[in-house]
Amino acid sequence: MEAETLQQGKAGIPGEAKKVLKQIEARKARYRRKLIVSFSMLILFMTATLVVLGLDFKFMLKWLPFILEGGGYTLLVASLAITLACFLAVIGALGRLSKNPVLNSIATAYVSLIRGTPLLVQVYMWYLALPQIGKSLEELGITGVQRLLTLPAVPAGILALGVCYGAYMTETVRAGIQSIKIGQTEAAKALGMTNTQTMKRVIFPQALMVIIPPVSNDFIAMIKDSSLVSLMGVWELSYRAIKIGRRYFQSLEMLILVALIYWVMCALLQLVQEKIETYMARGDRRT
Amino acid sequence: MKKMLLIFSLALATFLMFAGSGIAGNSALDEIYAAKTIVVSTDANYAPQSYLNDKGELEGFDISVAKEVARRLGVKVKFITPDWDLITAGKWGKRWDVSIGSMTPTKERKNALLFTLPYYSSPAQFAIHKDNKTIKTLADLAGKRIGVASETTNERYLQKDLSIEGVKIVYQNWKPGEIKTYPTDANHIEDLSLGDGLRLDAIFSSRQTIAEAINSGCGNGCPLKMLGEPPYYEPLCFALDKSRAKSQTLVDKLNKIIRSMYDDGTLVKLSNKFYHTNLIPKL
Repeated sequence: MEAETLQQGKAGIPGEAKKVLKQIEARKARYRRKLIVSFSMLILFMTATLVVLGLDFKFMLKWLPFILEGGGYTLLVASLAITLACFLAVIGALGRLSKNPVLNSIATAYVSLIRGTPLLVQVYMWYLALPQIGKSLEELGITGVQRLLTLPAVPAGILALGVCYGAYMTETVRAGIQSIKIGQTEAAKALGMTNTQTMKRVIFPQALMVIIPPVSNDFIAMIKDSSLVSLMGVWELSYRAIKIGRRYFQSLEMLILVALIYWVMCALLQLVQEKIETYMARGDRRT
Repeated sequence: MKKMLLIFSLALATFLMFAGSGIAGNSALDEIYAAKTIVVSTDANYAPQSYLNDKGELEGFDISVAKEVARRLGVKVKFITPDWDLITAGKWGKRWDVSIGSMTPTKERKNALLFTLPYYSSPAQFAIHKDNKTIKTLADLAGKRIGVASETTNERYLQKDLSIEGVKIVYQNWKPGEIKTYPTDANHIEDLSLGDGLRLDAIFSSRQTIAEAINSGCGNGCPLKMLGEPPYYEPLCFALDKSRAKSQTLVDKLNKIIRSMYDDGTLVKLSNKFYHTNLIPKL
């Protein structure tokens, strides 16, 4: 049957089309080759830079396991903080979009205050200011509050990071929700859904696709910002690197080492991000 | 809306009630005995006072002193390593009981902290790059760039704004060209080690820190040399949080322990072990 519709010639793809396809294949292969070459050049260049720096590689290798042990704290703090941030972001975004003046103003003030102050200052606030509040309350006659409000370093760090990133992500989530066209809401209403149902079944699943990439972006940023908890004496990656560097007066080696560790961690996370993104967008992307 | 407010205030009330059931009023010393642990803060930035050893554990003169103090108190010791600025700021909120971190009792620090007797004293010391041929005396440092760690007595001395109880301070009769402050001593030591006059002409730190850098820093010894005699010796003490209620008995107890460590030669032994010299003054 097919042969007949193609009139002359044989079955399958015509010769000219095959040629074009072959050209496309060749172009892709050439592109891949060039990509590999340029990547290897970059790696070569970086290695050369490290060699020119005259680093003490033996020293770096010796301390690598000790510094890597701090990676656990880094991941723990960052992942718990991003979980907290996600919760806060959803609540915050609903607040920002709410028609209730109290909820709306609370959410707006939260975003404005937290985004408008440095994270470093916020870390100090959680660690230093809370016990002070506890002390004042205790002087007012409420005993035992101070101990509750005197957070150890790790929870204080998680709170500081989570609350801070929650504010940034509030805006991400809000923008994601608002990017869904009004027609979707109207259609849901027409089907008789309540507001909650509309949000849960129609708006949010669609918004998630828009929200996921910037959120993974924030998570990668947070991995690095988690180094701020070292100020409070948590032995995470950068704390260990900085202390060892100072101990032997070889800070450069240790800083480069820890930078590479962060880089590898973030590169791995980027892979995961790409996987999630492809999965989320499986409905409307061509492979 | 009203309902929400009601729920919120109810939650707050229950929280405060539970919080109110705690017990307070014990002295700091009693609290340490009750916990069977003394929590000591130390800044692991300074070898050989407090640093991470080859196994990545805390070690140093301060660490050994703290362990000995805990032994004599009959409690366990736990170390915590917050940033130096957090330690000197006071208001620790009972996160740790005492700082054993070679702290000088300056007038400003006394606003926030209580100090024990000094447990050793540290000579302040200038140093220059090994290759430098022009700077021969302290007076030659006039107009030069000098690196110091911020919030230290060294910085205060260069600013001619240092007062330590019981120590007579004689300032230099020359002025540095520029005082460059760094987060910690290791930073300016590394900066001067980059090359003579590259970023710094000289540094000002403690003699034992510079000695450690020359002996075993920068891979195989930092290229530095000491310059002149120590301009002053600073007494170094344990510090306690002034805002913590009923701390005086703890201060008295610690003073008693320090005295006993002077008397039986423990401090001299530790000083010789970590500093290779006796930095313990006569009481």
